Amino acid sequence: MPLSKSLLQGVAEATCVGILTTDDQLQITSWNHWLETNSKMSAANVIGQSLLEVFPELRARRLDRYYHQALGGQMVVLSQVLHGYLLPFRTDIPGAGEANMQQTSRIAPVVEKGRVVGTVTVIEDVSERVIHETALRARAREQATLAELSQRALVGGDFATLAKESVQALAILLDVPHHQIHLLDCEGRSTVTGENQAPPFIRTLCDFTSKAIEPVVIDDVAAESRMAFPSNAPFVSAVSVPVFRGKKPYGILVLHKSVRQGFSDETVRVLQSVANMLGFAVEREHLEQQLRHRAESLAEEAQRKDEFLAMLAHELRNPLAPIRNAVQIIRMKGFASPSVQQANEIIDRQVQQMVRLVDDLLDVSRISRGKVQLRIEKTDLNSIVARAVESVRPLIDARKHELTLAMAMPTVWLNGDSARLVQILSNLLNNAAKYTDSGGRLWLTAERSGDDAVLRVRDSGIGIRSDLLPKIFDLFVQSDRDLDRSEGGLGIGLTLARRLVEMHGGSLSATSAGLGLGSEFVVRLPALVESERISETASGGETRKIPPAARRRVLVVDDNVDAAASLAMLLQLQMHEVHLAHDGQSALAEAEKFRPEVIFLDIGLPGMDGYEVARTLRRKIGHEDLVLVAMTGYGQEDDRRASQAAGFDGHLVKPADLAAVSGYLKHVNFE
Amino acid sequence: MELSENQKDALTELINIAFSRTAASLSDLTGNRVELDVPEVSIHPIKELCEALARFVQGDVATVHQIFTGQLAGDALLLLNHDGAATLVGMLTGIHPSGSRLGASSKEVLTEVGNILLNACLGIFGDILKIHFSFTVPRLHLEALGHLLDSLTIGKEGLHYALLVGAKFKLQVNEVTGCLVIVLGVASLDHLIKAIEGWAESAVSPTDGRH
Repeated sequence: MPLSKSLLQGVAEATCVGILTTDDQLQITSWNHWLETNSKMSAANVIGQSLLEVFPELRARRLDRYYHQALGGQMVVLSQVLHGYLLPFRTDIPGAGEANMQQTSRIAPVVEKGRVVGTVTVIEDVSERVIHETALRARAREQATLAELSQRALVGGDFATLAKESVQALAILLDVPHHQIHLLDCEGRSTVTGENQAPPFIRTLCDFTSKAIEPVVIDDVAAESRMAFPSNAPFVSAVSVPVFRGKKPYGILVLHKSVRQGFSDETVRVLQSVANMLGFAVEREHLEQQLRHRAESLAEEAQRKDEFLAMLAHELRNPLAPIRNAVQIIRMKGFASPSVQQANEIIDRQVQQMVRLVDDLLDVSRISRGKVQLRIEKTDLNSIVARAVESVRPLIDARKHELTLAMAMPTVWLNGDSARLVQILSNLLNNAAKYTDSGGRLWLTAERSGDDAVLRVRDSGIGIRSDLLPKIFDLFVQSDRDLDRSEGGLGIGLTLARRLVEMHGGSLSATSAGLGLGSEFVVRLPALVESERISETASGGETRKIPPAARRRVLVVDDNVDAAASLAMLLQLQMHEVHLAHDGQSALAEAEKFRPEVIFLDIGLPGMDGYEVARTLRRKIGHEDLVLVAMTGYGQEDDRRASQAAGFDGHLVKPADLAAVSGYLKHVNFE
Repeated sequence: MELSENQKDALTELINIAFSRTAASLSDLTGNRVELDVPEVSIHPIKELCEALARFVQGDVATVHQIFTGQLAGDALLLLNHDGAATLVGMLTGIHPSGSRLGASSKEVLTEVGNILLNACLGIFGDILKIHFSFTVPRLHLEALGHLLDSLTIGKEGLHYALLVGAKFKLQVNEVTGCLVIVLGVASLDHLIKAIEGWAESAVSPTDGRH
């Protein structure tokens, strides 16, 4: 049922949209109240007029074709996005500025009895929606930009590059040329260019903002009373936000324009967000630099410490050699009285202790510098246990401890440096004995656990404080106690033990229930599978045999007069003929004259070192059967290879054991 | 009912003309060169429409729907995947809807584009049939495909067929695929196809102007 004309008219007047009708000549036939209000044209003035003459813009914008389409019977939809508006009306909506009302429209044919007799146009004001959508899109772009810049700031990297990218991103976001945005530090230097190029007016703004510690907005520089700008300041409006590095002011971020313009809260907020992000980034870069410097300093310090330890240990070895020799001499000469014997034994023990301490110190230093090489061979856990127990047995017995031993049955095979493994276990047993009161109990267990060879050393001793437990393997850490420290120590043993275990691909851990409740140390090492058997390691090296003789001609060369004299004395007591030399040239001269059979040659000679002396001797004819033994504080694989390369037949580490020295006088072999 | 090869060719040619007009309108509106290809044309009983549409659209679809009345009556629809609809709006306006929702402005653009395309197609049919259609105001729906198809069948008596035309919108390197669907009763469809055949025959066999 068709609606009555009066009803349709009532609807048209009451509605919140514009409704206009035309005849088939596009003469306006109705103009509702909404249109009157928004066009400021009364219905009386427009009805009967040609729509295209009342609004000539329709032709200019080619929108008249849509009316002709409608007159052709087609429905027309005109979206705001593609057309903006149909009829040019002003709008009072805040934020619209000078723009016309934004509209969405429909133009429909009016059909009567199958014939198009006119058009009806419905117009809706969508200005608010457009402003809202535009703001939403701007906000989304802003958030995307800030998110991207924040991500870059978090990742780290060069701050100047980030600053440059931030200025460029801001310029795009705020739709301004990038030269109107500045990032300056407190000195007025541009962070983007690195140069002090900021114009004077920016410096003025920088100084003020840094003091204000909040955004400064200047809508019109001519009306600005807070700061004095030069008269030729090439900007009219500006907003400046402070940039903080942590809590300290870093500089400012400035946007300036050459037109008078109020800056919205959103613009200030975007600038401040970017400023905050830049402040975070510059603080981060500063902290990273500090950390790097600190790490470099620490690395240098560690290296200096390692080198010092190496030098210290090496230097400490030198005096020990003659002392040890003197002990041997006194023993061989016989003791005048029991007290002399006792004193001699005390000296011997203390020298051995010092040798151990110096060896540990050198080992820790070498391991830190990556200079320790393991001599890996197949070995078994039980033999390691036996040798370690043997070495610590004197201390265990002296302190009257009860040692409970549980060997692995069957033994567990593993790849390792057996000397070092004995050293590790001896170290742990030594500590257990040392830190347990006399008459205590020690337990040593060797077993296989899964794929691991496991050694457990447990004691009923003083235990370890819970706060100390995490640091127990750190260098130079000892439990601070007032107990008798007669056994002494440098706090190196556990550090050394752990590092050696880790070099074997294993782990060393410690547990303790607390002070007075004992402790347990567990070594885990990769075990070999059951089917693997030990294989004899071939011993290489040249062997130069000397037929046993009661007396040898021996030349001792050492620039340390005491060391040379004491060794000479020992050898003379063994009935050998001994000559001395204290430098390389003297050694060569003496070798020519004396024609020794064996030369114990110190490496560290002044001027011509021991290697050079050895090489020279080997080049000379007539010394082919000469046995050369290097005497040095260095005993690593590299050192032994260097000795061999120079022509030495043997390599002894100071202070050399008399048995080792004597051995060379019977049989020479490179280990 | 199946289309013969000749009928299919004729229909495709007509749709091409309509699509060319649509592309020209969109190019003029947007200032960018828009192309509209016709991949294929087919006819399906409305019960089989869902399966046939699956090659073009799935899940949630954006549909511009116009009902036409007169000597021929039925429904004309432009269907796009939801994502495709957002892409098409972005291609034509440079405004890319954020998130998964199409805003009011984007919906208006889709309605206008759909209106242009449906008007062009039905206008072509009206020209060859020499009849006028009356159209309702086009409406945009965002819903699951199933709901849309249900709404097409509710209240319809008798056998109905759907003329299905794939549509590929292209702008620079971007393209969006949708489809045009015209739902008619069997009698209306028969009338339309016969008229198209007649048009095709007159196009290939022009009358001889000599006396």
